[in-house]
Amino acid sequence: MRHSSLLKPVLSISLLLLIWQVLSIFINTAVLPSPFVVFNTLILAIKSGELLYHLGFTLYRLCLSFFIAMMLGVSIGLLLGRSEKVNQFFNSWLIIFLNIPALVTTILCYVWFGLIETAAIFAIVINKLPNVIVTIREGAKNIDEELVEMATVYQLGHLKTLQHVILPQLFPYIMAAARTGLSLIWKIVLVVELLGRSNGMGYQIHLFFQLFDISSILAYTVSFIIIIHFIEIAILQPLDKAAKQWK
Amino acid sequence: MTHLYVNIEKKAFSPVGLPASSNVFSDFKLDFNTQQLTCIIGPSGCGKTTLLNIIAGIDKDFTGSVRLNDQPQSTDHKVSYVFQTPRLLPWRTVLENIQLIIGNSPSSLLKTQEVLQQLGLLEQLNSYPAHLSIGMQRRVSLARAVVSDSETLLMDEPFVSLDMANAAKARQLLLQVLEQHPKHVIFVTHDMDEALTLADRIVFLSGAPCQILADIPISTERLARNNDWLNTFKATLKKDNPNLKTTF
Repeated sequence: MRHSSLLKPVLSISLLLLIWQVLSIFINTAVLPSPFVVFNTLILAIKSGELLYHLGFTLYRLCLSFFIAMMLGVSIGLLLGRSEKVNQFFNSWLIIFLNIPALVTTILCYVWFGLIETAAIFAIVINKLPNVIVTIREGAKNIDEELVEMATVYQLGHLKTLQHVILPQLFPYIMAAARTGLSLIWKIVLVVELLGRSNGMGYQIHLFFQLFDISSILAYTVSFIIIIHFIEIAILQPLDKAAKQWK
Repeated sequence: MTHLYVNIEKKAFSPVGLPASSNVFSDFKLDFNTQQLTCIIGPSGCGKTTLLNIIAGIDKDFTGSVRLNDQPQSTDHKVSYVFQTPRLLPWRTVLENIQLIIGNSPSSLLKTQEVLQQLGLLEQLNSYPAHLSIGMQRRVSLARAVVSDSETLLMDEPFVSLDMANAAKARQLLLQVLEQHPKHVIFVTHDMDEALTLADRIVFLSGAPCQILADIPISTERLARNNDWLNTFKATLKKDNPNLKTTF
């Protein structure tokens, strides 16, 4: 069981690497370096400490904005999902924020607040927040009223009701928001760094673009693909498993 | 002697999407002696569940009051409720479901174990609700309501989906548990025999707007209520109250 569950992803990744290798030999240009070249560049970048320095900054921004966006998004989403009146009033705001391009909010944040860290974090949060709100709102609309009534009858109080009755029901929606959120934040955080920071992956990739250093761009990309897989396997999947224990 | 006074001046129910609303209750008054087990019988849709929800404090959309004795204010008296469905939290075990209500002190654990044993559920202490039969889930719901330190126990057709033999067994269990943990019980049912087996008093309600058709005390010992007694009682009831014909 365990054997075969590991085998498939390994095979599919190998196939991808093989296609890449064959293509790079076939085309034979500097714009598509082979996996080996990229791997060597990756090792060099790790050894020099440069990659870890920039990856560290990007991860720090990712974590901070992720947690702020999740906390705010869950609270606001819950409020909108539980109160039809508030939802009707703010729905148009949500649609506006959902559809403003990340580039616009990022530029505006830098213009209004200056080229500072807070502006960068704020820009990422603003981009991510509407998605969390929409997902959590859906979950809040599907909360079992009967269980909430039970909590009211037995006078559980707001905090216990939230912790033991509402949040467990929201859990699948929180996980969905976390997954889509992580991938969205990765994409935004690089744009934000490219536009107004002097460190981080986005800044570095911009630099490599100007130098036309494709193998470094690919090496950095590979490094954060590895990180994303690590987050999925080490954090998200165990959380999923723990939550399904009762089923 | 404590009394619970329910006074509903007006309770309207507006079906979703319809502006017109009809009164479920208007000028409805009913008081309960809290030493007794009162059964409420009425046709479907007459507002029995609404009445329980108002007493439980879930339904606050009405004019009137629910008071203990002659206190001027609506009191926040403690209520436990056995709903038509068990309403257990699926992500908590039987014990955790109950401990959420009464806390996890050693004394509450002891009380929980004692009641669960009486209800034949001790082995299921650490099971999740999804692994229990519906009958077991109902008993857990009953256990939760009994161990909670409430004054009033509301029961809304709790045995409705059980077959006759199991329902009879469940009623006996209810009476046994109540003997050890006495509570004021308001029991809604549409089953005349069930009401006659359990009640100290039966209140018959009419269809909407809800009115009290008859209010009948039963003084016969529960043990003496055999089939013959049930039949005689029902026959006399029919003769004395011709307006009750439609309800059973």
